[in-house]
Formats: sequence, C-alpha cells, structure tokens
Amino acid sequence: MLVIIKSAPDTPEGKRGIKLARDMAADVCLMQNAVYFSQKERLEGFCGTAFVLDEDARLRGIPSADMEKGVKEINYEELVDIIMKEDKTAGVF
Amino acid sequence: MGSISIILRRPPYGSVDTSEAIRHALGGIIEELEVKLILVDGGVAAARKGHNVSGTEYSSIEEGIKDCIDMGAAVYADKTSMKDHYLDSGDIIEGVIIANGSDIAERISESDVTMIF
Repeated sequence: MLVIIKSAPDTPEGKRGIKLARDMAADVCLMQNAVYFSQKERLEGFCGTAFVLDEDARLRGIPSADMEKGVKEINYEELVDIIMKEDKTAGVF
Repeated sequence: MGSISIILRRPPYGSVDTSEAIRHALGGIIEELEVKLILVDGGVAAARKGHNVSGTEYSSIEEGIKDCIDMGAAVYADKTSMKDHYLDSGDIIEGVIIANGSDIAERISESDVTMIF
C-alpha cells in the first residue's frame, strides 16, 4: 500500500499521513511541503519505503545530502508507475 | 512613518501564503512603511538557501526574501522554529536576523499593524 502526503511535518494532516502509513506498514510518497519529512531524523521508526519527489525537494532547497539514508528520490513519471503497481493508494494527506 | 509586522507561518511553495507575504512586504516598503517580515513555524523554511526553481513556473521565494532585505525590510527567523525545522544559521539567507520569542514579541508590539499569513 502507498500513502501520499503533501502537508508539512508540523501540520496535523502531515502527521496523520505518516502515522497511518506506519500503522499499516505502508510505503509513503512525500510531495510538496511533505518533502521536509525526508530530512534526517524526521521519519524515525518508519519501516516502509519513503519516496520523495525530487523536483519538490529541489524547489525548496533540500539537497540529497540533507535527506535520511534510504529515502528514494523519484520524478512524477516514476510516481505514476509506483501507483499503478500498488494494490491500494491512500491520499493525499 | 507607519510600521507593519508581517508574520509568515507556512512553508514556501505549498500555498500562496509565502508569496503573498513577500508581496505585501515589498508593497509596504514602497509605501515607505517600516516593514518587519517575521518567519515562524514552517515559515522559517522560506529563509532556507538554495531554492531551485528551474524547470518550474514558480518565482523564487529565496529571491523575494533577498529583495525584501535589499529594499530595507527587517526579516526575522524564529530560533525555536529553525531548530524544529532542522535549520542552522549557515542554512539561511544572509541578512535574515535570528531572533528568539521575546525579541519577536517586542518587534510585533512596536508595530502599528500586524498581518498574519
């Protein structure tokens, strides 16, 4: 399962999306203001795969070096492929 | 001369709040107001260096903040919010003043008008 999140880490929506993904052992895709979740230590204890939209991260000045190890940078086309492969997608938080 | 404090609470690009706050700050400067742009919570992310708008239709918030500073606005970033958003003094645009809560409260109390974005 994939959970798509666009809200910033300091918002209830953003926190809800991460909690839901954690509870369901799902993967997450971080876009727009949610790309700040990709920074080190923000996703502590999250076991699924975290994808981040590279264009949205770059726009906000977040380089790959600032991201948590294991976060996968993708573009829109790759996001579409991931969504098509998943059995279920929930979003956008 | 009047004075205005513009408080920005939202991160850039995710909504119109940041660009509107900058637009109002520049407008205030042109009207010869004393302008203070105060970045708190997610708003401190606007002061982060290195925004890359190439290939997008966004105008750079980083350039907007620099314009505000160049034209004489005082831009403050809340120290606690910076910590919460993993920002160090080396990560932010030159000329942004790092301030603690009581400094910010004082700046706001000095202003004739306060706008919140």
